[in-house]
Amino acid sequence: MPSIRTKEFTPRASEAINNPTIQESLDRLANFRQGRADAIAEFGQERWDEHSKRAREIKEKTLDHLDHYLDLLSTNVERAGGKVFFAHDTQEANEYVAGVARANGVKTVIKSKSMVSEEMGISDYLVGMGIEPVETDLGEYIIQLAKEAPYHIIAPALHKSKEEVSELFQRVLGSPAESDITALAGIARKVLREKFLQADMGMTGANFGVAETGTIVMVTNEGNGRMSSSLPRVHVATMGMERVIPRLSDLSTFLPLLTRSATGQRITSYVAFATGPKRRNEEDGPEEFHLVILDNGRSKMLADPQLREALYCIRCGACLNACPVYSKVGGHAYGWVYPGPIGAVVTPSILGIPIAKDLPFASTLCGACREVCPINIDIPRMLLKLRSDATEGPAGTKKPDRIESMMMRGWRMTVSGPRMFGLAGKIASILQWPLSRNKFLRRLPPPLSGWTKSRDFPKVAAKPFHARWSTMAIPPEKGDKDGK
Amino acid sequence: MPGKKASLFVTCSVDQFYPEIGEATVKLLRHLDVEVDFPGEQTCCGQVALNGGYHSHAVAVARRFVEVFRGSEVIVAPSGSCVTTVFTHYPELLREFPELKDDVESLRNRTFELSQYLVDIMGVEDIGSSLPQPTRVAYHDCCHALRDLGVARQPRQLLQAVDGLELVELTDSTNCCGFGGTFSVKYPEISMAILNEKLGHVESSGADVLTAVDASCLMHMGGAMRRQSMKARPMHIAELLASGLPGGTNA
Amino acid sequence: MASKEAFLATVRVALAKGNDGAEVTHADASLNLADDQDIAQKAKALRESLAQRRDSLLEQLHRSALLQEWKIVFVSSDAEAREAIVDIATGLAANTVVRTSHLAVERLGLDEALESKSIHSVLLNSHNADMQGTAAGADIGITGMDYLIAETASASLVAREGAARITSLLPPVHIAVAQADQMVETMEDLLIFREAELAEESDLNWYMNLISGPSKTADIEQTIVIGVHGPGEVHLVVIR
Ligand code: SF4
Repeated sequence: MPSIRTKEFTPRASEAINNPTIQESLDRLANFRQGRADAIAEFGQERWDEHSKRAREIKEKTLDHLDHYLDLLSTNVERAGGKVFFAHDTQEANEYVAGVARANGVKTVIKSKSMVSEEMGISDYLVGMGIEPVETDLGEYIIQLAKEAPYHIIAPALHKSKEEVSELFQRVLGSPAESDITALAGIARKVLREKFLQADMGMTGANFGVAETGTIVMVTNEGNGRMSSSLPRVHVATMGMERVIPRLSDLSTFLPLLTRSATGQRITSYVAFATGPKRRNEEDGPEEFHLVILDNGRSKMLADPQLREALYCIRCGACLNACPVYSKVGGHAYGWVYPGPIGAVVTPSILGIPIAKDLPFASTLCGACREVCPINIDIPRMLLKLRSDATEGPAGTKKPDRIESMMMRGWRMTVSGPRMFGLAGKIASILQWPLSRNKFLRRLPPPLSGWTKSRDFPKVAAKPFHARWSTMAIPPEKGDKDGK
Repeated sequence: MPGKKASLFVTCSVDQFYPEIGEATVKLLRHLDVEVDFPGEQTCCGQVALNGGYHSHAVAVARRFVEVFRGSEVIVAPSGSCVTTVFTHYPELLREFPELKDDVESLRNRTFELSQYLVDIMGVEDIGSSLPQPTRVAYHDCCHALRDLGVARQPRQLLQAVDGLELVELTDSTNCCGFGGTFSVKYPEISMAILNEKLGHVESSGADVLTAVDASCLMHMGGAMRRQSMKARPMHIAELLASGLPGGTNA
Repeated sequence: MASKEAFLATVRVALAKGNDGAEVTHADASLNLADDQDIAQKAKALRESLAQRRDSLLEQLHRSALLQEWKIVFVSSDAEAREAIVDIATGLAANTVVRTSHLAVERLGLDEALESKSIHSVLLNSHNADMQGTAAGADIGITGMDYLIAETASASLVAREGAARITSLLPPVHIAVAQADQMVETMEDLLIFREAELAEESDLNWYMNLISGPSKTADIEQTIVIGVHGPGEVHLVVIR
């Protein structure tokens, strides 16, 4: 597994907030938001909603019978001449891929962007074996050279300015300084073209795995997915076990949702459908095809009725773009493979709440993620569930905060009835006296100091509403109003 | 609209911090001939506990809420997020009490945010309010009111009908203000980064008043507006609307 | 090492737990796969309906092709198509083109026409000594297409004998040739035809591409760059 830095959420968020280059790149998320809105308008809102609804139904039913569809998928991949490996965890998955590489004497692996392969940390694993893994999606290539984690599900190098990319290319590739983005892409194209032609193995993800036909579907714009699944002698595809869909025709529901939500495109430049290795009468294509299906904690989510819907995710990234928190703190703060709102659900679910406790709490629960999600996944609801697991859940998931728990017990007593409630108000109004300045408080002790550092806090009213009601209980004479 | 009755759920934060909002709400409702009562046993809806992950506390408070408002025909609150707690979260929070299922279902369908109640239930188009001097007002869409309750058109309609009030649209009005309950205290730097963007839009709107349907969001935005000595003042929609009624409030 | 059975057993346990213990059986699987007869009938009805709408579909295709950054030409005969392709090739000062033997291309008699302009035309197949090198070195790849989707200007292509995958991938320019009667309106239509074909052939072993414009990226500062790994210039020649 790649390095886990979920515990550094706050300092890394702070770093991003105080980095103007990063803030500038995060401002560009507005393009994604606008693109999505325009694409849906063109598609038609009503038609969009129908697709969304159908997609969710398909996901619900597929996951309800996940064992069945996985069985069908693997049977059909094998019928097409491919091999299927079911991996409980990333270690098993990595070992399998390594075994395939070893058996084929592989020296170079070309990779097409895949979140699951990030989750596996397969690149580091291959390097450890003396095999060269090369990311071929431009964004992914940039962060591979920079030795960083992807910043965004569909735009891995979102945070890099062209100046930074140019510097990086100069330093690692020895290319000349370049300020033109097309030229920068040209440099990568040239380097990668050679890698494509010399690689012995191609690795791709799978946006969908079609059970009925044993087909994996790869959605790309650059063409690297096609390269990786056409040129090398061996093609290894990796997918999370939740990515299976029953029928080919289901793609007509999912593809329009995916590309429009992700980049606002009607469709990507390429959608490649690969079924097994090259067949006898084909002119080219891989001689071996392997599909690795990964669990790695997903079955835990499947077993939890409240978290299961996180597995409906099609990784479009729309929730990241819509999220006010992601839009300020960026991707690295989330500390693992999946950033943003969906990451805040998936990461603690897979890694465990104690090491990723910040993530479910670092959300305003504004609901923008749910609003844009093409599958209507209720992320805020799941964040609340994870929060409650963190404070009150069973041992192992629980990681309560003592002071806060004490305060909550106090609060609970306070709201247990109007008398306590009134009394608490009175006490607070006495306590606040030395802190007050006009009608507002400018300084509160921790943990409330976080608020008053940059915001005034209102004083508790001298006479709360409960007390005021007694004088208001009888409405003014009707005549008063009629005489207006 | 004779014979309308509503129970006021004033919410804990309005009760303790902003009782004037409660008074303004009563004034508005009475102006529209609604018979208002105030169940004195009320305290809080449980949102604070729910938000912080204190599920068991939230459940206890929610149960209490169900009992307190059992006899109320209609419940009106000057807060979109508290109504959301009832509307969106109570069914899940009280799932362990099947005997309350029907009560909860009924309760969530008769609990309304103020502007929602006025426009959707009462059919009010114009409350007949008139401001003493021309005022530029920006409306901020509070997240829960907007996304859980579908409150967007209703407050705008009420505001637009006020004499002397010019309603201006904020850029990205539907973006969160960065409050998020415990979030604003746990992650103050992120919260402020989000809030400052919002305040930039308020500033450039040239508004005199920033209004919203949630006292807590206004407390958040207003707290920073005051600290930064901004021109615009925060004002809850109930107070703003009521201030233009005959014998207007001091607001 | 996880076997399939062990893996699926874990899934089943998780499912039972998540479904509050309710047992799930395979017979329950509620998304029924396409019924062969059904799909054949559906495909037939669709074919008729599409034929009736052909003109409006062509217009739709025209609009969307421009949005998807295809260079599109409509021609009314094979001869015109041949001419159009030779024009493109000479315009680009091409030395070598690679092509497939797809029917839509084969019948155009392109080789002689191109050779007469001193452009070398190669049918790319496994008999080429260095297929990848030949394709990578060519200036243009010419392929016939199986279907055209009007709504998204997508052209589909199944790899088969005489139709190498890389013909439309490695050269910097791609010319896609299709007949107007290969047009469908939506992705849904295309998949209905594919499912019908699969039902007939019962040969599931296939590789298909849906191409909807030039290769591109926006990975640096969200600025669109055309032509990353695949062709940066794409032409669509539609024979009415
Ligand atoms: S949760 Fe929804 S919006 Fe977010 S990436 Fe997944 S599908 Fe897209």
